[in-house]
Amino acid sequence: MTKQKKPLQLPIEYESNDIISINYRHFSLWLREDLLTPLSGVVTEIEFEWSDSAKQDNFNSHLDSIAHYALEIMDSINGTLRAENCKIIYCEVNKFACSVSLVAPLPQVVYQGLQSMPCPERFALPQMTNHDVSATEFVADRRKKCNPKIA
Amino acid sequence: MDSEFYLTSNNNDKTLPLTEEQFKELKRARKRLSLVHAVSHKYHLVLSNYRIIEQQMAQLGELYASQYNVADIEKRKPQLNASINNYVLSARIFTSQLKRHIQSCLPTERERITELSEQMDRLYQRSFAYRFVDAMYDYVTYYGLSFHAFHCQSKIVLDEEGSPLRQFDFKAYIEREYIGGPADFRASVLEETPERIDVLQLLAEFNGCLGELHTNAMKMVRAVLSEADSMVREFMNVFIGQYGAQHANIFVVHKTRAFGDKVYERFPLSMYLDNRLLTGTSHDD
Repeated sequence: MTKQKKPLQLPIEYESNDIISINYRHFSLWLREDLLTPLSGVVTEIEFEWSDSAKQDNFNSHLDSIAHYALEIMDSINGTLRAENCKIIYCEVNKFACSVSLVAPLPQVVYQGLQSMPCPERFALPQMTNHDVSATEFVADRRKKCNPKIA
Repeated sequence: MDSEFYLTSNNNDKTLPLTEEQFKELKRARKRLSLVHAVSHKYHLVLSNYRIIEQQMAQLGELYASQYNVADIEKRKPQLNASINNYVLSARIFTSQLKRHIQSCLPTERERITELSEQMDRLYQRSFAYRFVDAMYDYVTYYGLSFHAFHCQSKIVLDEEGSPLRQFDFKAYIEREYIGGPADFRASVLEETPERIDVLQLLAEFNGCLGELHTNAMKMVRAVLSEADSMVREFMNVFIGQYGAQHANIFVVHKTRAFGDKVYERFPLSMYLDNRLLTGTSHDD
């Protein structure tokens, strides 16, 4: 069983939701409304699927570390994408994948930044999708998953 | 049949003879006191199990907020399951024996039992929580499982100085799809069950229903309780008056020659005056 070195430190800019059930786990973080509303730009989602070995590790540890892994990948992305007006607005993780969504002035900023970031071992190569909605709309839509029934 | 009746202190050191009539009265009083206490103890079993669930939920909520000690989380999940199981079982212990206990206290007042039956029917009609916990008894005795999911949310609020502060909210749920059915659960209750049920909220409402039953039952037996209480107290006072307060732990004994001068029956008496102090059930919460 994976032992975390320190307690989960949720960044104060984000609210969180965690559903723990018998055969699913869904952890998500989203930017607080007061910080989210003023943002403009393009919403880009980066989806990292778990590597096969990470899937097995997660299974063995009852998915108890996935929230820590989500924060780690957010840190890596924040460390790489230092461009102004570029902000992580939403992150969700379950047994299939970890997905991080950002707002950036142009999607290219995210693409280029990601090129220079080494992909963590526990993930397969990420897929990127642009969403044609505002940051607020995107987060509101994804937060519907906070209902345990839908997740 | 030669019989001998007497009061005795705990170590059989001091004795006080009783007539057969007095013995019978004390026996009846003791029976009533023990039954009334049984109703109260069982009610507080349920409430105490609820408190334990609340405490365990708070601990698990903290563990999930930090997600630090996974081994501890895995250890406490089955403990919470056990507590909710215990709650459901204790609820059935209370409801299944309430009428029998009150009937034994008031053998000549059959209409009281009818009244209790009607009150239980009304609660069943009125409260989903009452119906659900009642139906849950079969589910937990069959599967040993009493909840299916946790939900841990955190949001940011601003404190008095405008600094952001994180607040956690932690809930346990029963999910209808995981119950399965209708064969696994009472069909009429399953049909009206929402997609998910907040366990603590459900049990809090159920506590309220049991509170009404308990209050009503206690009202019914108030007169016989006080009668039995003062009679036992009177005998105790005579005993203490004669031998002193250090011999206040009193038992009633029935000896008979037919059994080779053996003690035929012996039961405690003063504990029924004091055991509310012992279990802390003298005040309703």
